[in-house]
Amino acid sequence: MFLLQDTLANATTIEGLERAFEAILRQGVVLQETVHSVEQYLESPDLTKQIIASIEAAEASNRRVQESRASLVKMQSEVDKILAEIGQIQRDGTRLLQRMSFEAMSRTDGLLSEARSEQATSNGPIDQLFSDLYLSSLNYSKLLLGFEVIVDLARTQQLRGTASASAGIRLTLEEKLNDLTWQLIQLPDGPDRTKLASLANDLRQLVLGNGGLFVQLAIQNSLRSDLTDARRTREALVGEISQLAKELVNKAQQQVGVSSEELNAATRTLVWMLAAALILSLGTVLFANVGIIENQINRRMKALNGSVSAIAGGDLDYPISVSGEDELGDMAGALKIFKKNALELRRSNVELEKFAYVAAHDLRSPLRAIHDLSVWTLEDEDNQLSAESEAYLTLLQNRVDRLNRLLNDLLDYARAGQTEAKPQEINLSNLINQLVAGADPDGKFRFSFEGTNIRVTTFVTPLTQIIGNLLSNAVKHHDKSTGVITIGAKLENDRLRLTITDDGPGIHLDYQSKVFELFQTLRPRDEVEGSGLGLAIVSKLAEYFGGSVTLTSDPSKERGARFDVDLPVFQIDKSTHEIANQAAA
Amino acid sequence: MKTPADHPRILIVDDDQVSVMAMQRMIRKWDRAFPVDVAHDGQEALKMLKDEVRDLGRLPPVVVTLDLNMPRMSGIEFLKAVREDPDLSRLVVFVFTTSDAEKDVQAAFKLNAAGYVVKESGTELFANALRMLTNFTLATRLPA
Repeated sequence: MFLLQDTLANATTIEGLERAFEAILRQGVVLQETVHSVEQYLESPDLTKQIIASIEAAEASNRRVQESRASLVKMQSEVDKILAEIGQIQRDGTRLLQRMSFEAMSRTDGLLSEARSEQATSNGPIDQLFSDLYLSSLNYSKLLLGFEVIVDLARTQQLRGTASASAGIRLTLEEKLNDLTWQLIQLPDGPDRTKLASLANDLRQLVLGNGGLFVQLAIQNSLRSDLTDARRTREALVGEISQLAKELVNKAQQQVGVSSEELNAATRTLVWMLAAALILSLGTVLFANVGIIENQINRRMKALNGSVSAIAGGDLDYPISVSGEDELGDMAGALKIFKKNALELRRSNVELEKFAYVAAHDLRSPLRAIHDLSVWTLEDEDNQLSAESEAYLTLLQNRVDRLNRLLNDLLDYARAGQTEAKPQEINLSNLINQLVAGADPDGKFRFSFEGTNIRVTTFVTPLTQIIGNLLSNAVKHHDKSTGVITIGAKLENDRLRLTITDDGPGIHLDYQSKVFELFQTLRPRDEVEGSGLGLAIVSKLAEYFGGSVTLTSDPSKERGARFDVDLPVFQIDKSTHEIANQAAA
Repeated sequence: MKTPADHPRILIVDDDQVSVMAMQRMIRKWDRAFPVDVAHDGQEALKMLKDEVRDLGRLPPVVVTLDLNMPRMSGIEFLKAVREDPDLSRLVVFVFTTSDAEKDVQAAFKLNAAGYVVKESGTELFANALRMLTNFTLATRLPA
């Protein structure tokens, strides 16, 4: 008996639990036989009938559970096979696309050197080839991405979602597969394209086809709910047995008392007492063990909870020890996927930082060299340059400066939000004054402030970047030599609402969504110097820190534009000087 | 033994040719023109210094400007080797580099760099600082 209790107490895996159930039912059978053999002595025929019936039902239920599990295991291996094939297609597709991409690049290089050499006659055909190759390489990247997205979507289907979510993903997959086909058509004809088309077709079959992933997963889902039902029934029945056993034990105890008083045949009493003793112990064990089963579920739940908290808190190496074919097992599976994604994200952040560091250095050096050399050429009086050459050199410097600014802005964009800053308390009007001086050093514009003389606790670096960018835009894009720029601030609960309004030309409704995109400018770069990244950075930063930026402007009605920025702020707990988080950053 | 004609000298350690040219132009504009030696990486610079000081008995350069990102031997490694060499440990080294990384600044000052200027923002600044530092070093008596 104690062995059984130990088994149950230590069961943390589904396998252990199943073994424990088996053991319980075996004990139940023994009890059943015992009860059967002393039935005639027991004065509760209904109870014995019930307990015998319950045990039989529980056994039948257990068999159903085991059968369900076996079917599920088989189904899982079918699904795994399909996923493996999908993985293979992705690998083949990726390799093929990489080879095609590489060949296209080599052809481009070849064309470049041809164009540079003296043999280049007309530019017509080369221009055409360039644009063809450029389009091709864009297509290869899109195709690669397309394959990846489809495979990822297919894999996440493993996570059992709701039926409607499933239908949604199926639609998305169909869309993506159609996109893939469309993009394939745009590739140049040839054996490579044929191979890719056949891979795409195989992929479609594997995912959406008759024996495909979706179908198998649907079957798996229904098997799964069968198993859950069978499990629940079994648990209920085992519980019932336990209750009945308890009742039986009580009855038996009463009877023992009565029998000994009646002085029946000694043997009968002895047999009866032995039987009663057995029933007593078995019943007690059965009753206790059902409680332990519940504990087992709690234990797994606790373990899973521990993993979730640790991983959500950033400890990505925390182990996930829970597994199994029930809901808890599902959650553990989902958690494993989260963890993998989080690790992947962390790795790519680290790579991004390294890339930014290297790009900064290796790109800036030659830029600086070009700039300096042109400056020196202009400076040295011995160089007798024509006015035209001087103008060329000046233009050269201007372009180099532009490249430099673009590089800085690109790095800013890439790094936006990367700093693990803690919120700090600052005086908003001090910050704004600094940024105004930076945006309009010559004091051409008039600035007015409303409600900005407040102290706020928030992430200072992104706030600085956001306000700085918006102010410099307001100054830069103004069409008159002077104007009024108004900066307003308002604290509402745990949000800071900033408004920056100018009386410039405004932004046309058609362009309002475009201006937040990367590299979009509204004036030619020779009129207004700008990389087109400023608003993209502002928007990325605001979103990253849990805020938003909106633009209101309608030049057809009136001049001007207004940017509304909404950012989280925090309260400082004065007693402990620690920042109490009021909004998740 | 001491050859006053080419002292005080400045040693520029940098693998970027245009950077070196920039510094040479700046130094030429000073009211007092110092002769300039150039080394393209840490190893070359180290060898140059050791040869001159030990074999030729010349005085070491009064100031060394140091880039950090160089092939073969980086600036920090060079600085470390200099500080560990008894003949060279008292060299005045001014770091002039493209790197704005905090860890580089700390490493440089831990090895007693005289200053740290980031190339992009500070060419003018660097020239003035270098001139001040050179004059300062000439005027003061550093410990033997």
